[in-house]
Amino acid sequence: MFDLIQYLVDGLAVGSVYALIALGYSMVFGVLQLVNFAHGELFMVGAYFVMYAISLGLPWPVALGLGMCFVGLFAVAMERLCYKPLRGAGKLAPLITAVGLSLLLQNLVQAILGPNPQSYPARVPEGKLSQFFGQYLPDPSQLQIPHLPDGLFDWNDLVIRHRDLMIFTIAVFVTLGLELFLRKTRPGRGIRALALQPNAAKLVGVPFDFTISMTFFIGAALAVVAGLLQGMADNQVTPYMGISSGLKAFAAAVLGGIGVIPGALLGGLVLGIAERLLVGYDLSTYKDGAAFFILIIVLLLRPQGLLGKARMVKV
Amino acid sequence: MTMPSKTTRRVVVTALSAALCSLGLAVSMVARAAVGEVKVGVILPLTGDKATFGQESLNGLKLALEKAGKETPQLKIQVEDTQGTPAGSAAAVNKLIATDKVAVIIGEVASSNTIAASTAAQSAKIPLMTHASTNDTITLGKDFISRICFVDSFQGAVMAKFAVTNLKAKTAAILVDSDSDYSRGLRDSFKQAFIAAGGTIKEDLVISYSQKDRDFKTQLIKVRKAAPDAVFIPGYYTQVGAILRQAKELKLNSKFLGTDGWDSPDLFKIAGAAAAGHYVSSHFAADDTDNRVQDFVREYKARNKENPGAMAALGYDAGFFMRAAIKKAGSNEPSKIRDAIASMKNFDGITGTITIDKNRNAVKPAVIVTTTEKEFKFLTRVNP
Repeated sequence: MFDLIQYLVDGLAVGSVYALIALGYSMVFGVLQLVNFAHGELFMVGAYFVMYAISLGLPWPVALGLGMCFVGLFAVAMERLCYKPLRGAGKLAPLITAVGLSLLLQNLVQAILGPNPQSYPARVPEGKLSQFFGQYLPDPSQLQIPHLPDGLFDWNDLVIRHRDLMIFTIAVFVTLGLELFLRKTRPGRGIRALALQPNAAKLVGVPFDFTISMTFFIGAALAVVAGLLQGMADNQVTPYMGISSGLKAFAAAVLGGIGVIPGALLGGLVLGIAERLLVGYDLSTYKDGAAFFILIIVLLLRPQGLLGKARMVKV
Repeated sequence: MTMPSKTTRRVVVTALSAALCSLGLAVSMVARAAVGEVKVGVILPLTGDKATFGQESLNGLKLALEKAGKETPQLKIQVEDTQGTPAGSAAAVNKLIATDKVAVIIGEVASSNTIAASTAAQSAKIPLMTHASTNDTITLGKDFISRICFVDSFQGAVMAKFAVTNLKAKTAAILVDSDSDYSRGLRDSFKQAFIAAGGTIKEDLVISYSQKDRDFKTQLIKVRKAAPDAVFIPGYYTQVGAILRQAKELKLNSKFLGTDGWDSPDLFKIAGAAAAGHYVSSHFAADDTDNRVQDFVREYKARNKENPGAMAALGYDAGFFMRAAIKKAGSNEPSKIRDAIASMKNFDGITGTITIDKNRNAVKPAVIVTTTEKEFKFLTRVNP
């Protein structure tokens, strides 16, 4: 019984990172009905950006802020250049573009920063880039690398890491904040209006392009938060980290009800817990398949996801 | 046009076969006289989560070839990156055999990858010699596959005996990488030897993890609860580094024992301070006082600006060993090279004296090293 509680608690922390990524999937789908498969790569690029910024000697809040702005603007540019010209071209074209962008980013990062896992403090790989850029990186031994809190709560046999609690709390507050933003503020209501009925929203004066850019920006910024947390918790950043986390976050978004903000959090947590349960009962090999197994079962029973509202589609 | 008469045809056939025979004779005479150049395929994980293994192996191999200079036989290496995956390894072998027509192949590092590669090499009858894959089954029933490193039934027993005799461990837990043949083989050999030496390993303390895992808390909590004297982790440095880090976070106080999969500079980068105070079996230690080892370390460092790990030493030995074997074969014919490798005795390498046994495995010593926060320190050498 105690084991079970332990796995549930551990699952919350793992699921929180999925949830932070899933929020971006969910928001973009809400306004554009587009599954942005390149979203997992924004998470990866964010993790790299923050890692290098911290390795340059910047304090972590500055590094995080810069990372959110940079990756956010990058996502906006991506939308303007790659998705916007395809509006009205059906749903398949942007979807394939998203898959292509995802592969492009993975390989681009691999080509520039090297295919091998990086740990804090990050180094520039050998080559031209290193000669040009490497001189600006301070000596690693001189650097104070910030890290997540490493304390423990320890009751009898139940062990909770402070950093797990921190990640969980951040995920909950970010979700609440996002939900408040969407309900209470003018730009937030604009996003909801677009999601509900794009043409009517345009008629009543919601700035269409601006609102979509904002959606991409927010989603990417949240992915950077997830990238920082995961990169620091694991002390490892790789060009492929967006693939598995991105896919699971996508599964989480669909599971919770894509387009519904609290659904992304719930979906992430459910997947995280399922994963930890499998590992706990010594079935870790099946852990990655589990996410999709659960997804299939839930979609069979509730096609709109756990928190999604069934919507009539007018033909 | 009329058909040529029977006699004419017979004459032509005889002449042709005579010509072919003499040609063949000439070729084999040239080959036996001296092998000038031999194409050697090299498959290594140059990228991915075992990349330092591939890079170090290649650095060591290149140093060996450089030192051999212009002496014949010249080894012309063709290097292929396997990305550290079984599929990549099989593809690399197929490419080397079909396109580059290599006579012999050196590599891979990880056992699962070498197993995938060896199937392709065996069916093409091209000898494959691994410098670093230790899983027992690799050479089993495949007569073109050989190795110059020790096997895991030896390595696991070495660590089990060390745990019982030197660390006075009575209970142990094992964390197994379930995606790796290497790890599963070592689990079995360690367990058997540990129990034979009088220790106990509870069934529920043999816990698996996956190479895709990043968070090992669930596994480590189980170990922490049971608090065994020793924890054996036969795994690769990327995951082991994370495990050690998280074990320290969880204030897990057992002693950790590892195997040659730990032997990478990246272990210390990933684990940080948590890397200190563990015991690892390996092929080589850079601070071994042996003169030849120190010469190698100096030359390697001058060339690559870092201390060599076990993979660098094995790559270096592989270069010299392969040259010696080809010289002995006196031919660049794959089957002759195979026979020469299989009959090598008392080859003096920097990872120990290597004798190839009847199963084409190397009989040679292992070293046990201990870890600080930054590097491995030589502790002792264990002979087979």
